[in-house]
Amino acid sequence: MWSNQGGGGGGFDGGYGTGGGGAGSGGGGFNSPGGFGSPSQSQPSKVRVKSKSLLPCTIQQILNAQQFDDVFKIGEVEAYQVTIVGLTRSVKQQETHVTYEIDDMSGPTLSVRHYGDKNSPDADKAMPVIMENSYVRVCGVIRNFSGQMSIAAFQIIPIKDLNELTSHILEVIHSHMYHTKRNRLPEAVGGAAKALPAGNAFAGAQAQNGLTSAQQQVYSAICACPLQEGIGIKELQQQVGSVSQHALREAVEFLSSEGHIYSTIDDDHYKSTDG
Amino acid sequence: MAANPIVGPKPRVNASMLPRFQGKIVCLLGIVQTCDENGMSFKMKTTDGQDVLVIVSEMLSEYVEGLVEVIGRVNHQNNIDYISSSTFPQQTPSDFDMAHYNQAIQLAQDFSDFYVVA
Repeated sequence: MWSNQGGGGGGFDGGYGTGGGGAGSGGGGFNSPGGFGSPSQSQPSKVRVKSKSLLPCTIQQILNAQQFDDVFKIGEVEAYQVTIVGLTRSVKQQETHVTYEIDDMSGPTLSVRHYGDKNSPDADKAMPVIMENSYVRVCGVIRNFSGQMSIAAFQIIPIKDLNELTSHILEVIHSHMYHTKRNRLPEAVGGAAKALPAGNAFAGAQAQNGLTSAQQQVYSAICACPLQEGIGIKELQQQVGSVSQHALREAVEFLSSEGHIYSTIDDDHYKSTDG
Repeated sequence: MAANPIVGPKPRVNASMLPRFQGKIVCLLGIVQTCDENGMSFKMKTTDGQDVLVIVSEMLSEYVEGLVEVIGRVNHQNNIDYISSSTFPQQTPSDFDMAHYNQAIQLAQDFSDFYVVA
C-alpha cells in the first residue's frame, strides 16, 4: 500500500509543481508596479459630482432650469434628481417606454418618459397602469433634449392620499428655501459670531434663565448653528474654548435633560429646541 | 372630464384669493356641497371654509361629488366659469386635511420665489 508507485509519486509532484508555478505567477502579479498607479496622474477629470439629493420641484422650476455643462441649476439650487406631483394629462404607450404629459398647475405640461419593457415578467409592479387625469408622483432625472426639458423617470406611482399633494407643495418651498439659504452661508459655519437673527434670542440674557455661564455659552453656540443636523461636539468645543471638555459634556447633558436641546444624527450632534 | 389642458399657470387658490385673480384661470380644490338640478352649476366648500359657485356652460358629463379640483376662470362676481375638473373617488373627503392644504397654498403664494409658477 505504501509502495511508491510511480503514478502516485508523479501525481504528487505534479500537483506541487503546478501549485508552485501558480504561486509564482501570482506573486509576479502582485509585484507588478503598473496596477496601483496613482489615479490622479491619469487624465484630468472634468466630471463633477452630481447632487445626490432628490429635489421636490414644480414643473415651471424644471422648465426654468439653467444648464451649466452637465449640471442643472434651479435658481441657486443644483438639481439632478427631482420629484414632482401632478395630473397625468396623457399616457402614450410606446415600444420601449411610456410617455406621460404631467400637469402640476404651475404652467405648461412636462413630458415624462418611463423606460421599461412592458412584456417583462415584473412589468405589473415596475410599470403600474396609470389612468389619465389622475394624480401621480414622478421621481426621475432632468433631461434636456435640444432645448426641450423632460424627465427620465425611474419611478411613477399613483397618489392614493391627496394629503401627499399638500406635502409636496410644502416640500418644494422648504427644500428650495433651505438649499438657497445654505448656499449663501459662508463655509466656515464654525465662526461663533455668525448667529442667525432669529435663533439667538438668549445670547444677551445672562443667568436670567437659570443656566450657569458655561451652560449659557454652550446653549448659545448650539442655537447659532443653522445646519439641519445641528452642531457637533467637536465644533462646539472649538467655539466655546473657555469650557473644559468635561464641563462641556455636562452642560450638554443638562441642556438635553431640561429639553433645551436634542440630539440629531448621533449622540454628538445637537440642535436647539427653540426654532 | 374633457382633457383640454390650459397651457399656462393655474394657481391654487381658496375663496379669499378669488378677488385677486379675477379674469384669470385658477385651480380650486374643495368639496361639492350642492348641485343645481339642471346640472348647470354647483357649489363647493373651499379649504378656507367658504362656498363658491361654479358655473358650467355645458352639462357635466359625470356627476361631481365629494372632493373635486376645478380649473376655471374667475368672473367678476368671484364665481368660477368651469373649464375642467378632476375628482378623487378613492379619497374619503374627511381624510383630506383641508386646513393644511389651505396653509400650504397660502405659503406657496407668499414664497413664490421658491414655489415657482409661470
